[in-house]
Amino acid sequence: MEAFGKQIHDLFEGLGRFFVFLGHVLRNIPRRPYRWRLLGEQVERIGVRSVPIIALSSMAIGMIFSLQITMLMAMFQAETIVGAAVGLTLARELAPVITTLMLIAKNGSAMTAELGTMRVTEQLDAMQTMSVDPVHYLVTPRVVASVITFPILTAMANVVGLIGSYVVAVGMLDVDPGGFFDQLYWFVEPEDVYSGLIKAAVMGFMMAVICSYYGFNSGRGAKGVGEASTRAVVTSSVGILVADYIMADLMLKLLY
Amino acid sequence: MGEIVRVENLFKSFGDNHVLQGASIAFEEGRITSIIGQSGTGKSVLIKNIIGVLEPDDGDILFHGKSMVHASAEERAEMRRRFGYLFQDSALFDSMTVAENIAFPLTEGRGEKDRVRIRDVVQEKLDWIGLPDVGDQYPAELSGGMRKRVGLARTLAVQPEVLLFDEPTTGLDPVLAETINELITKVNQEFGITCILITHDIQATFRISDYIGFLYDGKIQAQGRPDELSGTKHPVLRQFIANSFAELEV
Repeated sequence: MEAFGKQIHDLFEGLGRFFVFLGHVLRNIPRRPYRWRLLGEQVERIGVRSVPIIALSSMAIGMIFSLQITMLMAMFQAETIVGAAVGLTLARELAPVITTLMLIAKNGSAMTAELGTMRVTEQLDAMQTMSVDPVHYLVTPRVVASVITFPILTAMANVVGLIGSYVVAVGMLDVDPGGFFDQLYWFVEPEDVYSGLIKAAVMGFMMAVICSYYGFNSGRGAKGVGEASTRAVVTSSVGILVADYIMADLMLKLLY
Repeated sequence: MGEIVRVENLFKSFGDNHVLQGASIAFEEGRITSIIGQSGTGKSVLIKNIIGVLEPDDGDILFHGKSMVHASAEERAEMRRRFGYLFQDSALFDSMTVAENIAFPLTEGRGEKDRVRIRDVVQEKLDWIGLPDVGDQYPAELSGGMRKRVGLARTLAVQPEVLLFDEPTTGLDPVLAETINELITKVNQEFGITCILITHDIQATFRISDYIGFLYDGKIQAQGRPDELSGTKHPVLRQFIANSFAELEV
């Protein structure tokens, strides 16, 4: 019973610490000085360097999804619907979620490990002793860069996924190209694309804050940093899936 | 010269571990003051409270007579700009070159934008620590002693009034340790900077310090000039000093 009580206490203490950190991050975003060079570095690291992996994964998703849908729809002689099916699911759900999960694996874990190592080697404390707020210097550029790059990469994932879908459906399974685009045009609305991009921005913010939080609160030594990275990846992955459901529900009620 | 920093009845605990239990000591301007004590007695916790990396549970820290604990965040940041801190493992930013490390407190802490001035200050500090050619190297490429000296150059870049040293000679061989001790004396004499050291290197402490405080059981149990403390009646301190000098004789 005592152990259970301690777990509950630790859970609320952790949540409290996280929300204090979140408040600190939010207060720091509009604060000067604006460090454009650091923002540029993070945009390059999170965004530009992630283009190949996002292109590859979204192309694969588009191709696989196209293959399955075309096979299914062929039973009803409605293969041309594949363009709309893939376009719609990519725009609303698959592109933002797959992009975010890939970026958590690639950048989120690295973010936690980098900040965690800085915590362990007292580099964050050193910054503080020089009157430089480590949250402002290190976390703000990561958060802003994530909010900027996640929607851009999601938009790219939409396009590349559709190309993959087109190649499989039209190039390999003989779906009529006119029908593919016709269905895509009639079923996919601009709101579907916007909703996916908004989700991506929110998920980018969540990933950067959660992974930075775990880095800042990393335990001692290599083991502590490793455990912090694992916890950051698990928490942010589960967190974005929960947030995705809530946002999907809200957007279906508000946008459509 | 007057008092520059005063620690008043400081308390700090981590869960059930009561590290500081009413520590009090005053630091005179322009002096080298050392806090000695066994490992794990809370020496690092004490100076991390002074620099503001840790917040005390109770008590106060005064800088030029003004409370740092009860000051606003802006006032505290302003006061902190007048302090420098040399970490035990130097805490250099490993993704930056040595020159960028030394320039960091100027560019990011003070908002200095004049590149020529920044370059001049960096080179001047590198020359001063006797490592004029390491500016383009990364901390990982330097030895422990070199990293300590670069750490010192980084703290000196903004000409602090008070410089805190966390175990400056721990992990260094005796020759390098002596070099660092000489640099501390030089910093104090050449720039008039008030130096606060925490250390368990008793022999060096008695040689270079103007004033010494002995931390034990969360409190400063004895304090005074080295000649005063060498004849102390405090049993633990007497034992501590005797053991340290016995090692030297062996």
